[in-house]
Amino acid sequence: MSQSPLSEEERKKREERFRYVDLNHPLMQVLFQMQLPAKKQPEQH
Amino acid sequence: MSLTPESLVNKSLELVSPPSTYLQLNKLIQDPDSAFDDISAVINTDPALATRLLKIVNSPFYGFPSQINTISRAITIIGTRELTHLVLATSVINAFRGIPASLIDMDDFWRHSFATAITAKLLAEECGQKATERFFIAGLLHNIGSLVLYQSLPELAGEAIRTAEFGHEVQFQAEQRIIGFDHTEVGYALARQWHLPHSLQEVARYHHRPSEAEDFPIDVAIVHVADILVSAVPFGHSGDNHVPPLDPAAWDLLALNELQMPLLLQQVGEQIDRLSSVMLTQDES
Repeated sequence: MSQSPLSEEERKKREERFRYVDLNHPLMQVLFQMQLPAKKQPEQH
Repeated sequence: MSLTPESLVNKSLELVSPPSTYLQLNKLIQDPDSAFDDISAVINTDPALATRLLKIVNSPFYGFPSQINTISRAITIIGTRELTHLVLATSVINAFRGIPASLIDMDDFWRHSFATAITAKLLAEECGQKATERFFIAGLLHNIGSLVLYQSLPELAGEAIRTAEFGHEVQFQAEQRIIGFDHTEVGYALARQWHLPHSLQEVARYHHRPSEAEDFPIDVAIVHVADILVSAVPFGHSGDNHVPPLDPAAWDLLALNELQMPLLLQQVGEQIDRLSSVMLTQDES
């Protein structure tokens, strides 16, 4: 998970997910900008 | 009579058995005269539990190179405390099966809990804590109060979930307004009723307001931060798709570097599917 610019769609999704946090906090800034790996399909169980 | 966290837990306990094997094991661990054989004997009195534990310790999550065929061997390899925590986790997952999927996807709920468990343990290691397996179980059970709400008050809990999704409150605030108390207070009441360790009681009670914890402030702060990290990715969800508010004092207490968190979450991502798949597999009967 690295830092790189977010797409507009992803930015909107994150703005909703991070709606209740203070984005001025350094930790929240890192988490907001974090690049996520491609989502894996959950294993069957 | 008005509804309280304690009365709700009492009502819930008519449907959910306390984790009796875990309580017996916990007593044995604290008894200096007890031996490994006493612990394996208690687990072996429940063959379904013993089979499940062996399945977990032989899973890719642990990744041991050779097969572990007996509980005694499992104790030698992963230790009594970690095995006892697996007993508690397994008991809680089984106790709360049957929460309707129309209310919440329980695979998502447990995925969030497992990810919080793995994250809490990694954060504890990063902070230089010892006996980090206790952070794993604290993370895994931090939302235990939500299970009681979903089981015993499905309509009101559902309203809180929908409010969190579409309204202007996080889930625990919606619960306070709609029910009169939230899952942290219910979790605390259940942990007390079940005689779980005091550290787990504190985490269940204060993981959304860690600065109020009088005891085990590090445990509470670690699970508070783990919950936030996991919600930011997100790995599953416990009813609320939003990242809960951070208590900056809890973050400062841990003295961690925020730039290390993406790497730590990558490690969580590498472990979560292996843990979820073995923990959520239903035994064939």
